[in-house]
Amino acid sequence: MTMLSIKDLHVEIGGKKILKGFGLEVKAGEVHAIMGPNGSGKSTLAKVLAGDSHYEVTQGQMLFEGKEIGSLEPETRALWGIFLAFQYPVEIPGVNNASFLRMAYNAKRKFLGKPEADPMEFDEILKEKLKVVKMSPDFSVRSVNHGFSGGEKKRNEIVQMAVLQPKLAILDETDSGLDIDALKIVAHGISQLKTPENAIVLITHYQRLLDYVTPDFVHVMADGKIVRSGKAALALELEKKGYEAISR
Amino acid sequence: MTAGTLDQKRSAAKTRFETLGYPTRKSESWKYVDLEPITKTFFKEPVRTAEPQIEACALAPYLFAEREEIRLVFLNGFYSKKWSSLQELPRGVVIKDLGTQSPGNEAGLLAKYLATEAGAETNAFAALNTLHFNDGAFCFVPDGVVLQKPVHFLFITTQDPDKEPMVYYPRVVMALGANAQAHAVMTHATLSGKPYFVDAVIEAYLAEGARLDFAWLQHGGSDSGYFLSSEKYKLQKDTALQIHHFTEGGLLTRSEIEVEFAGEGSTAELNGLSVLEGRSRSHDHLTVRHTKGHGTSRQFYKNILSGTSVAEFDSLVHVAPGAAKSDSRQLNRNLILSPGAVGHSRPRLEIHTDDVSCAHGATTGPMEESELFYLRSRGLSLGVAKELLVYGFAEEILATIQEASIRERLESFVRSKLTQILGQEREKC
Repeated sequence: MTMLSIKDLHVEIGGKKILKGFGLEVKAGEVHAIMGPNGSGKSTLAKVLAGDSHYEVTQGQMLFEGKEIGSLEPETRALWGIFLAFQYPVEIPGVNNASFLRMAYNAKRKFLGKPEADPMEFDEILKEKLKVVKMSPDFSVRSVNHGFSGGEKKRNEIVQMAVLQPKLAILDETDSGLDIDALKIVAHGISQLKTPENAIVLITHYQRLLDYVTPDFVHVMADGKIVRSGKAALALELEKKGYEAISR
Repeated sequence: MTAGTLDQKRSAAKTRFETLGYPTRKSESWKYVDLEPITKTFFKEPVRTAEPQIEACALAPYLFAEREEIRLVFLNGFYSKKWSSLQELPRGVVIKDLGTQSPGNEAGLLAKYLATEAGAETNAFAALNTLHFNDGAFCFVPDGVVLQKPVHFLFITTQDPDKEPMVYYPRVVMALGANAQAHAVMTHATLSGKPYFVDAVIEAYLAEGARLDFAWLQHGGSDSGYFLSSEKYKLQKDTALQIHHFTEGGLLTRSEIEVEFAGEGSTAELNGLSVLEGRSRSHDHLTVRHTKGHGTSRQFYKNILSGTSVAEFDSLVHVAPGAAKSDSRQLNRNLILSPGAVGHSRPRLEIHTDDVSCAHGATTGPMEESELFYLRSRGLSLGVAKELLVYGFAEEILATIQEASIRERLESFVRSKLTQILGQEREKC
């Protein structure tokens, strides 16, 4: 079943055209990697999908499970099952991580018509989810991303993904800024969360994450659209020849 | 204290008041303070007659029931024995009102501190307090004594029987001996919708190694309260002071706090949170004097501003010649919830020695779009995301309150207050 279908997407920010006819089809159970040089529009794609209002969609369509999402609020998209792991997760001092996660979890439960979890119940759920990326339990008493190291922030994004169990997860350069040990932990976490029912879109600069999470498809972006698509081997080719050669 | 001693102090205050005169807006630290409503209103001093009748439930929201407290309740500025609860005190500890005559030894002790160094008035309203105060509290903790229970000075303004605007002058004197420890709270609340004016002075003396935690919790009432206060803290060697200022309601609040490091190696933490709406104005003027070296001072003041409220953070850190290894931080953040609200921020430094570490910062602005988007992208509605962010903004200050019963009460209070304010802002849109 097609989960995400993007056709001829054109996006601008402040009058500057970023996406210029982007298209992508993602089915449940698939892992897609989107690679490309800086400025090719990868992060814009991620934010537009999540509903960042700074960007303006001027043309094209974005269908999630067959329904247009372009005019939906970010929270509605989240409740429908779209999740963005941010490239730069924001720090929110004073907002407790566990309470925030519980609120997000319960918003989703409520949307699904399921009973909400009380703090005690959620504590148990969170404890399990923290193990996915080997986060220590004390992380739940800290403020959201406040004073976290770069690696901790990225791991926190994966914890949120584990808690919210999205249908479609878009991971925007979740591998950047991680040392090799942290990368392995994060990659392992992502692999654990992969099911036949959900789909993952990995946005990345480098091949190295793909050593641990094998994509079904690799797409190369340049100047706001996909210029080449292929299987996992394409990423290896990219690594050898560089974007320049592949995009030509 | 003998009547003669007090008369001398009052007479000195009168002279100071006459010299100083009422402050004007020409003076830097009164520039944004509109005193006209105070100077043009006839505020009447209540007389100590029959105690105003209040219901227990009127006090309940302001008590820290979770833990026994040593409580001194004041109604319209006068000590109320009926509502107070002095508890059994450790040997040598003096906690009493200033309105009743003290036995000789206690009177001598009070005279030693009242309106002395830390009480020397630098503004006319502090001098007026010395001149006029009828009541207040004295808290003395002798050397080495740790007062376990918090001391609560609870000032309640009730409806004046004459229904006239009312003024009173609370005075609180705290003196901690060497290595003594105490935790005090001063709460202001009103049951009256009438204008009232509170002119308060707090003076605190910490001997070597002492530790004082003090919280000022002001529930000023909507459109009615005027609060002018002066607080002075004199810190001897190796002392620790933590101050929390919480302000909500009231038309005008001006708080002046001066902390002096009179000995080396002390720390002072000054945290403030104001939640303002409507026409409320809150002015915080802080001075930390690093007179002696190796002292650490931290200031963290936050304001949440809606309506056409105004907050001012005016802070001076002064490092005297020779006060090496002084370490100070001044931080002020203003969260603007409506376009008509204003935050003024002036962290200032005067450094007369090398080898110090002083930092300051200030931010004023609306909620961060990026933070809202982040929360919404996790499925939280815009309204919930805003509530969470504004509450988080406040919580960063509230979390620094060590005493759980105080922290939790304020947390729940601030939470409901913010929900109410955000609801009003939403309706305006």
